[in-house]
Amino acid sequence: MDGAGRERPSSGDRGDVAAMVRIVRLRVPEGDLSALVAAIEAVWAGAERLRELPIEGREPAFRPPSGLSTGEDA
Amino acid sequence: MSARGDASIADLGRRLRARELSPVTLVEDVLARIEQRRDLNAFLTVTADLARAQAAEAEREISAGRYRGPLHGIPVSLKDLIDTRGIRTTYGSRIFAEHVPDRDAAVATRLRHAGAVLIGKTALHEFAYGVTNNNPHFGPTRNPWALDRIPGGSSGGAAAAVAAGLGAASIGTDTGGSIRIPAAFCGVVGLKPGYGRVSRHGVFPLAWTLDHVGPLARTVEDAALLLGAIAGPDPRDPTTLGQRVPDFAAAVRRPVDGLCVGVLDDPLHREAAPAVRAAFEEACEVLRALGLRLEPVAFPRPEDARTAQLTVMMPEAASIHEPWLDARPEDYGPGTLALLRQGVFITAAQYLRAQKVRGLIVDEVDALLASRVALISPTVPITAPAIGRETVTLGGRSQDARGVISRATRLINLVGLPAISVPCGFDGEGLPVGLQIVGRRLDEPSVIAIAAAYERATAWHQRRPPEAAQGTSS
Repeated sequence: MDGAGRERPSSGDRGDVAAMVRIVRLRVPEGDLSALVAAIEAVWAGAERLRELPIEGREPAFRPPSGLSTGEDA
Repeated sequence: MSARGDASIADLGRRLRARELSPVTLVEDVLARIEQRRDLNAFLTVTADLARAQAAEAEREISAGRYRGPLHGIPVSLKDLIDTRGIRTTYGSRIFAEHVPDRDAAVATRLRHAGAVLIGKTALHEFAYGVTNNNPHFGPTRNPWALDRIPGGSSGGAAAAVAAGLGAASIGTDTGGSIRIPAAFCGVVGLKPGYGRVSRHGVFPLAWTLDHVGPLARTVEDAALLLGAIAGPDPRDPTTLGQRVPDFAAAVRRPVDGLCVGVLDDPLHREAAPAVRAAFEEACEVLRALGLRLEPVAFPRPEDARTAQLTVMMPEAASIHEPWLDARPEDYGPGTLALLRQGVFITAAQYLRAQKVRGLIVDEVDALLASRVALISPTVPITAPAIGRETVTLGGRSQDARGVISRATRLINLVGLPAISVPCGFDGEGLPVGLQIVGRRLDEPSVIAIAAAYERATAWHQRRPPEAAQGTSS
């Protein structure tokens, strides 16, 4: 639910998927899109599950840490 | 296999330095072997003329007392994702099939300065975006242990070449396991350094925040020697700045008794083919006998880490390919095109969420390693499947082969830790199994030390694939 008590839309919602299919068709005008759309839906479903992790307040990491080593030889 | 084709860099280097062996003779031996093993399709380009010229120059320098170091006169190859000035560099693609760079990648320059002899550019999965090396434009690379099997990818040509004695070592790249997976499937050593250890300048990217460059070799010491030559700061790759480079080769002899190692024992890592599980458990016994303390641990949120890695990789790859994706879709293989198109439609919010998850998992893995020097698992939970096979049976159910193959490796790219795969056994069909050792951030020396101690205690790395063409019965 969002702050106004509405059910939060997820990327798995059929409306979102329908919108996604229209956008996919714009980018991929030829051929059967069913396999591509199914694959995108699967990726979206995985990405949506990441919402459940304790990441509130975190900034994106963008890259793994690098620079000076924690190894004793460095 | 001849004694020279079989030899390690360390052995060859000693003989070259003592002038018991000529670099010219050595390179001719390797070039002849490459011709004999064209069936492997391990090379996209063989740089025979350049190799002969570099070998002759190495001979002159060594004879004049100007020995450059352990790679001087050593024949090596580069994955064809790595730019080489004046030498065709295809990235395994049709789009770049005739591409001739006007610059060398940083790793190519460093190897040249170390006196290494470039024998060719090795085959790869198209744009390094896959783990089979079944390339639609250049044909499949074949596993030297069984020609009907994949070598793994995307540095499959590199691993097949090293396993078959087509050069002493090779340089590959690893975004989700592309050094370690083919190393495991081909029975060689593959070392993915920590993120930022080796410059990516001049290497065609797959996903900027996950890409690593590292060596494949026949021994841990050889991999350490290679890493020592290619590691270090490069202003053209800011992730490499701020590091001091340890003596990786010295780590080979470092004692390991008393070190605490976590054995990854969560559901994702536990599921493995029986032969792989048996080889891994035997490897654990060897490590215990060496005095290491092993304790079971769970990788934090392994399924979420896998998802986050994919959610980061796919849009980064799609962004990199924007110039060609809409304009030349027919020039991609179907598998690569499908993955790139999926990446286009991952939303910005989803990408940023995955990057937040990366930070969370980095913190959790670092905490896991606070009291342990390394984590271990099978590199790949299965041995090399047949070329063209899209599903494998594991845990009693049919699963997507690509997902299974990269399961234990792609998590490590998300967090950027150093990791090595070393040979740790064979299955009933004579196919190699790999042991993955993951270290603390930029602590390659501990990874090398443990891997080298394990290698000294076992003989798996001394086995060589058959010379004659043959397949398995499956």
